[in-house]
Amino acid sequence: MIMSDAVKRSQLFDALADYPLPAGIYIIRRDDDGQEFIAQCNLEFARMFGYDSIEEVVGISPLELHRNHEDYQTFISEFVKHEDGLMRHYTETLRTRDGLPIMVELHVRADLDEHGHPIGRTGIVLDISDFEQLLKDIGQILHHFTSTMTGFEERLHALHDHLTTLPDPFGDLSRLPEAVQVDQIMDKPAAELQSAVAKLVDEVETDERKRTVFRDDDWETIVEQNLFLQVYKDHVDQAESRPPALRESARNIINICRALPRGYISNETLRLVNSRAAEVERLVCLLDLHLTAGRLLELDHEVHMLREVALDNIRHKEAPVEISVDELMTTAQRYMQDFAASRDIELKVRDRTKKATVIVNRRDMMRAIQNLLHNAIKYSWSKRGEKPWVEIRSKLDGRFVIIEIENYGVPIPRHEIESGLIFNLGSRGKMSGDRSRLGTGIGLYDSQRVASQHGGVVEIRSSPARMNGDPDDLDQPFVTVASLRIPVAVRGY
Amino acid sequence: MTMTKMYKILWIEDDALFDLNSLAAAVHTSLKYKLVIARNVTEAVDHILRSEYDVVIVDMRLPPGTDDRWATLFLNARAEVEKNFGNKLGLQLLYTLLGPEQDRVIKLPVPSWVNPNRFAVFTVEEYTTLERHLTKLGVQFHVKKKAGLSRRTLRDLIDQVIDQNTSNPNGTNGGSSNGSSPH
Repeated sequence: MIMSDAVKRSQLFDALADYPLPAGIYIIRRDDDGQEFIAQCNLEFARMFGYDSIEEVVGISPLELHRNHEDYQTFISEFVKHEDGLMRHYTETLRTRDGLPIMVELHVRADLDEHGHPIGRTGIVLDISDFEQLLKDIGQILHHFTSTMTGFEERLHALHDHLTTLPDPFGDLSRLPEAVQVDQIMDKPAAELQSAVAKLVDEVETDERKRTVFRDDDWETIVEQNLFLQVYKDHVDQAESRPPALRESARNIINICRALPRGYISNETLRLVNSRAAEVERLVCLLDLHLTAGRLLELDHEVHMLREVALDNIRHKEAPVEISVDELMTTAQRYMQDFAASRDIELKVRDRTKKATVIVNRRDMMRAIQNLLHNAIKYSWSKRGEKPWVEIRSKLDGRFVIIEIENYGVPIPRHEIESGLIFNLGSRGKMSGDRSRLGTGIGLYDSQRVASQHGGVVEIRSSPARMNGDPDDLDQPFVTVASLRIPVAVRGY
Repeated sequence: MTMTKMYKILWIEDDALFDLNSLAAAVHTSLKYKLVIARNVTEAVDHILRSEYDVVIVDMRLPPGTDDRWATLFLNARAEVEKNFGNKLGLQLLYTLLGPEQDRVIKLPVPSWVNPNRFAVFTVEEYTTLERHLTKLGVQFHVKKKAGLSRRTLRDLIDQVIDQNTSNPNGTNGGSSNGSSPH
């Protein structure tokens, strides 16, 4: 460092020392024995650590502000890793004069003498205890939320078991049936209910006195429901809306029949109408359980991701480990198996990295791949006559491993990819709400962040599945490939 | 059964097919109504430009759909906070359809049948947070979405809009109060 600069900096520091800044600033130097001491600081710095004046702090060892020698050494070893002598956003729990913990964020730069030798450092300290506590609280709440959802899932399964003394045409509760399939399944019970109601209408119309037993507009409602059940497929446009409409109709009919005095309408007719309406109601309730279970599974992942991202700053980071690409992929596949099964999607794994390994934070990297896989499953469409699939494949490209996840389904518009919008925290693509899918806009942001922390990158390609398809026509299926590129550690061949 | 006029209803609501489907069901089962659902603003505009509706029920927080103009507004929503639009794309849609020329955020060939008396707001937002806008736009009906609503809520709201327009087809009653409206 050129001395004149140091003098200027010292004057600037003196000016700042008395200025009420909402941050602590300090300078550390070494004494003749090479021991570090705090050479200068501002009043905010002193107060932050429980001292009443600058004078009380100047001269003490910075070690006194660290919780223990090990923490101090960790800080120093992290600092010297920064070849440019500049370390930003280092978070650590320090201690006050009274030994109380204080979470801080440090921004530090090395100071050099005129020969370029280190003489100490200058830094800024921000007290982030409140923020850290807030993050911890959010983490606790999200954890509670996840546990509650798990409880909901268990209750749904219990309810499902209870309701399926008769068969469940929608299959296992973990399956999310498609609207078209549901529509077909409901054809027969809806037709049977309609024929029972038609029988009731016929019986009443052949004997005018029987109409008088219906309250208020109930007779008109029965006639209307008879007609509705005949035309409901034309009358209700979206297949997803038909089951609840059928249930509503069934409830209306049951309520009216229950209110009828005995002895007017034949028991046989009433029993038939009631049993057919009850079956429609039961089936739509079962369907609701399937849909709710599917939603919970989706939400569970979203909340899990939110918790991971929120707590990322304060969680103790595990040391990076060497792990095979194959293991990363198969573990992520295993974690996502239930979600894929709920959408009836087959997960295909193809590893062409020949046992290559990467050095990663296992938890973070696993999450990054799961995010990409989750998106691929969530945004998949069924191909006519073909079971939908998502492929996870890997390959080597120079000193990088590329893990690609490919799906067929919801398009991602070009400009969202080109502008990088899809990687913004909280950004949901304009097609992401397709077919009422849930989402928070965390997944891609998180994956990109993790990739970047490992010297890698996530890239997205999305193009029409059909040859020569118009890339601006977003009503057609697209093939989307998410590529996670990270440096390879060892080639195991 | 004598069939009366079938009213065409447009419900602009992204949750209509799942979380709020029981509310739609109570409307579907009445053959007095033909309920059309738009799950985003692009779909809503397509429907409005293509066909006339007796009642249009609008949610405030809507996804944009495929139209880039709405998508851009949606993605830039944070910058709009100071205008109190926030991410209320439904409100932007109302301004586009019903607002004075200078407030129309996107220029559309608005059909002549579009007028505030046919519109109602069904949203999680309190009336007080929207009052300034709804008053300016002339929209008189507002129902707050909350847990535990009766399955007939949507149907009742539709009935009220129709009743008012039937009794006062010119829509000149100047904001009369009713069960749906908090004012």
